Amino acid sequence: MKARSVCRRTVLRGLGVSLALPLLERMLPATSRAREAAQPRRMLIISNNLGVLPNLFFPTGAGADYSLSPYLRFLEEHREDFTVFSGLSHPGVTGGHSSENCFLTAAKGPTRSGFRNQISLDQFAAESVGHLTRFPTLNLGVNIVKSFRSLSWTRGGALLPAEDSAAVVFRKMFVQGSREETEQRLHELKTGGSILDALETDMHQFASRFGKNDRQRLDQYFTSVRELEQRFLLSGEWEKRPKPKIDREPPNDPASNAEFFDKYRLMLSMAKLAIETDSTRIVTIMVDAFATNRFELGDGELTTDGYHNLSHHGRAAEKVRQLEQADRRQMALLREVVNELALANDGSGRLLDNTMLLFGSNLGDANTHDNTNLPILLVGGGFRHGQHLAFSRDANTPLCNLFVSMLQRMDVEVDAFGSSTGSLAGLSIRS
Amino acid sequence: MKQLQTCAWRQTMLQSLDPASRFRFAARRSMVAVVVGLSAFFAVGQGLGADLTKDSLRREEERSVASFVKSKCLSCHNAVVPSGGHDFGTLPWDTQSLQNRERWARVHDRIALREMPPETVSLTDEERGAFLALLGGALHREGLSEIAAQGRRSLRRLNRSEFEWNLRDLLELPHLGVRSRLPEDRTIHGFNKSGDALDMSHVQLSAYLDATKSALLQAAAPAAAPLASTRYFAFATQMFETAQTYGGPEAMFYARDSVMLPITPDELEAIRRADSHDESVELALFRSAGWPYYGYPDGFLAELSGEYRVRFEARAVAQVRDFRLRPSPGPVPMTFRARKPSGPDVSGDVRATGGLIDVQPRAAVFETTVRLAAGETFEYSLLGLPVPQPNVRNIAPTYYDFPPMPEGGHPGVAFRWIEITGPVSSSRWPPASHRVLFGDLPIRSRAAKVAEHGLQVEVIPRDPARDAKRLVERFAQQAAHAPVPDAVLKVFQDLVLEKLDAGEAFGDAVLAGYQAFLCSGHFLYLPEPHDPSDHYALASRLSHFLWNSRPDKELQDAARAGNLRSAAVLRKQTERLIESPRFARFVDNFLDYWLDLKDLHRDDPDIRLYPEYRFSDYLVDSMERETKAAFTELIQENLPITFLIDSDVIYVNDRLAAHYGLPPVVGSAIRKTSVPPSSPYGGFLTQAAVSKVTSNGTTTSPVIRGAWVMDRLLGDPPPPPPPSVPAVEPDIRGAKTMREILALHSRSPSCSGCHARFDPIGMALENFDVMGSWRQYYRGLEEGILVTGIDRAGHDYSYRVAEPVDPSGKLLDGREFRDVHQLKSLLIQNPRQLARNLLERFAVYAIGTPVRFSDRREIDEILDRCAPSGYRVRDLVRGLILSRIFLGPAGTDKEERS
Repeated sequence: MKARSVCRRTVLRGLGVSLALPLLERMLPATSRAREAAQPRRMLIISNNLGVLPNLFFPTGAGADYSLSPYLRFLEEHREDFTVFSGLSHPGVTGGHSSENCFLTAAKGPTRSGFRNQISLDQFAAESVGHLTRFPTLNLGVNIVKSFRSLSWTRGGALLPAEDSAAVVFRKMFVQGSREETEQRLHELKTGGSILDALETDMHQFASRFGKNDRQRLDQYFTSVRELEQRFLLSGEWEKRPKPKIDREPPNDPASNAEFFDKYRLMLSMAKLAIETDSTRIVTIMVDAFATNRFELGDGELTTDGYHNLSHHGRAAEKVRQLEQADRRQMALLREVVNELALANDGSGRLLDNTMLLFGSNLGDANTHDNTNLPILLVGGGFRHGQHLAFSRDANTPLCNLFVSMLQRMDVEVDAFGSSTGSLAGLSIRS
Repeated sequence: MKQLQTCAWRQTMLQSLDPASRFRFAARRSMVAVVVGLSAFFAVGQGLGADLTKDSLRREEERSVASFVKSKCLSCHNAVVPSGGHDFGTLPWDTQSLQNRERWARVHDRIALREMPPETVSLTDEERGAFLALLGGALHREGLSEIAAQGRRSLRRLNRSEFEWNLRDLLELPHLGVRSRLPEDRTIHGFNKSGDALDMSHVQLSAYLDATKSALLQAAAPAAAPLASTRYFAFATQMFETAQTYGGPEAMFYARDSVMLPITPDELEAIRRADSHDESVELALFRSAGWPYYGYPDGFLAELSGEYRVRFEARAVAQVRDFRLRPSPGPVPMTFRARKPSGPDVSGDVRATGGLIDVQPRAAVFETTVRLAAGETFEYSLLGLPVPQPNVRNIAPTYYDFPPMPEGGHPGVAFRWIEITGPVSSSRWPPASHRVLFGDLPIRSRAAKVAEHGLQVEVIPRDPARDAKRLVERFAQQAAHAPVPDAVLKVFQDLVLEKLDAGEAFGDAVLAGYQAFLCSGHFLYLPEPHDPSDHYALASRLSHFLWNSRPDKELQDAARAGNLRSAAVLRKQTERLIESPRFARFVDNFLDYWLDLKDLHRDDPDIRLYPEYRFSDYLVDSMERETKAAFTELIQENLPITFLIDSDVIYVNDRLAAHYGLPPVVGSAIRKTSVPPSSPYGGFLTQAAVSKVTSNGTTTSPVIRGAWVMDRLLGDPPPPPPPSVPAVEPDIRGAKTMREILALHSRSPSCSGCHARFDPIGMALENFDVMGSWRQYYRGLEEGILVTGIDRAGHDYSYRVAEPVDPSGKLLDGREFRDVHQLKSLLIQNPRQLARNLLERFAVYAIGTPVRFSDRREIDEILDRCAPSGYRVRDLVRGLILSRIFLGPAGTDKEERS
């Protein structure tokens, strides 16, 4: 254990940041080198933590001959490009809203004491393909409370905060620092590297003072040092490459969270830019409807309640009307981004065919805090679509089976994730 | 069937609660039984302990438990029929696992509460008592022995608030701001103090590296010589950028001899160009700062970050008809707001600075210090006055209304001149924070150009390697929570030497070493004071409890002397820490979580229903100060616990007194005053801050308020709503009043089991509106008697006075109350419950882990000692600190405990 770590440090120190990219690649497993040559695959995952009105979302009929639901009619022209699922959920992930942090992790029992979250789908995928792009993943949010909500979690179960500002995301992706800044940054990374070396050495001494239980807690620290070291190394490489040029003004963030749909649309356009420019291949967007107070519905109308209150509509007609209006606007935004992905070309064909867009929620019905029968929609990514994959509503199929299918489509060699029991039956690659 | 379902819910609900809540939940009715059970065990334990080895005792217990389970439980709770989702087959008698013990503790509590076994199973009181004694005794003993062997696993990193305070104290930079560079911490067990929530990730570590670097650079001298201080002076006609502001002359005008002096923009420009200011002119302001507004001293901008001394002459006035000034009947409070100058449409970061100043009716010179960042100026912020609002009419341009004149005129402030001097430099150079880093090594300006955020001075060592080693040792010993051994020092010294060898400038190399040290476990992690000889960990636990930061020199000295475990020394230090101004940090951080004060500004009142609360920042700020003042006094003055519920004194200022309908008081300062017996105020239960954090700004919900009060004040948290129970979808169509909606709760047996606990308390609090003001009727927009008027911003409003509030109710135990007065008198009848709740919250806050089954006895001992004097709150804090819960299994030094 110790020998290995010294060895790695020596390697890192010896290579420093002058490490050339080909050399870096040689350090990587052969399979991932092979991957770089392969067709880039991407995923864009959107979760609204209050879900949608289920009766207007789920279609009638199953298979290819199903009838579109009112919400799915928004995507009518893309019917052959998406699959709608019913009867999917995360087994054991109950506890109403508490399930929101488990949408991509499937960690069971989020309300139980001693609960610990686990690695999320995006971070899991990033471990395999994250180094291929400037940003391993982009974790975005709309109105998100960064301190306790995220779709993205580390292996240790620590929250990775989402970015709520489109302007910040844009700056990160496209605004080039000066040459001096680059050199300064490389120097900082080098200093950072030596600091991490010192920290790791020191932490071994520090940890030896503690008992087994406390040492387990310090494991997170060691993991953090190692992960950060990796990231410094890769950042150094990316720092030397110019950022993509883009013909577009930096966005201005809407001033208020009440401009919910404007923020939503802007964040979707940032996600699309990130994918188009290959800044990252993995984007998550957590739409924090829960934290959204009264918001603009359109035509100057402000909701009478916060999103959360609306979602507990108790069948009150007025609340249902506003929720439906919000759901419809959300569907219209999805249509927009699907349109754009379908029109864009990544050199090998439609960008949509290499981008899996997953839309869903941790709640099947927010009104009753139901965590089963989640609304799930998968668009693009080169699957054979145009169907309603209906699983049992009484005995749901693990959503993680779909995640496994998606991971495999990302060329991640894996046959299990979270609570999966395999890949998702009925979902196949378009030949 | 129905019974089975209720039972299933109860089980789920017990499972889903965290252990602390579960304990409180169970403890509510079971305390007597538990205490009886425990004392029975101790009688048994003493008899057995000497004769039986631990192993044979455990075997004996295992047999007894197995036989009890087999005869009383297993027929309903087995693999085939797991009633309530519980199968004893999956619950082995493994007392070594905390998780397992907590599950057995639930079994214990269900039996103690007489919820189990059901009446169909025969169980005599003797059998019940004996089994509880055995079970409770085993759990208690094993819990204590685990803690004795391994501690409570409470090693944790600093949360971001502690991290910032530690850096501020270490670097002697009291205003350092690095908090926002760190991810917000998660909360578990109600606070941001638990290791379970204080994760470490590469994101977190990266943020620590960033924050420590920023802090170190802020500590270093910004220049080789003290910064040049500049003086700015303005007469009234230079004090506002423009000739007028939104809302017209009613909102702002220039005056001479207390009469408006109309000045056009051109005339103002001419006066400024010619520098022909008339000293007798005043700038009279009648509006609060807030969009749209851009009044700053003309031509002033802070070129350097730092503190600026501000002096100005002003008087409080009232604007009466035709723009004339009269002396105001009372003071008008104001502060300054630092911000970048901007046009009317842009708002950026704005923050109050300089403290509250009550401008008096008689003209006087006021003096304060504001903190400005480079490129900032400030605006005058008169508190609690109207803000003109745009009224978009059919015709352009947008119209800004000002409200009608109140009786006695519009309150405002008339300024005559202002003087700004700064930045204020330390009298000694380089400043103290720099000397923490580099001692007295000489400095000079850097020859090469440095990045804006780099070290701005060159530090000149006498002998680079020796000085570096010496400085790293000195800094590390100051920064660490315990003495740092040489082997550790060497790691950081080597880092610095390596950088020196690579040609790095001395100052930069040393700072890299410091940065590393501040991200190491020696600074970042707080160990548990488990080892009785570790007085440093104890000192840190004490200071992070009561100061939210590191020990000061005196406390460190006590740790070094190794006598912090002497009860006398510990008492003395506790009292000193509580009396210190730093105790305010405890008050702030504790209340942010316990009473959710961090969320106080979350929801703005709905101005359709509550037009009187438009622009209520001053009111909300005052609420926060009230709650903090009351809590500070609760501890410092050692007040009885019932103060949480009821009190004949209250902490108010001018705005709050009006809000509460109390006799008027003068000025913005919060002061203690008596409450008339007829008033519903007094006590935390009815504080405005509590009413506000438990409402959403538009409506109040007895469910949310009731549940919140049960949890936070009474320590009897209702279980969370049943998770994904598909059967019941509350149908609230046609339900009109709150009482009718809640009646649905009590009609459905699956709801009433829990809602009957907290809905009634919430009902009694329905007399308090979304901001905590007294109301007898609900307001609505559609039904009821129409009320119209013009609000504080000059807007028309109309709402309706709807149904009357019915605050009466019945507690779960059957005691009825008519209103909040009677509710209070019922709630104060159980001071022990209030005290237990607060004591346990102090414990979680102080040690970062919830109290366990094995702590129950010690908790009760503390409560017993505090009972005769009415559970005074400072006594609870003292009791906790002197307990083994706080001190670890070793407790205080033996000779003094006896």
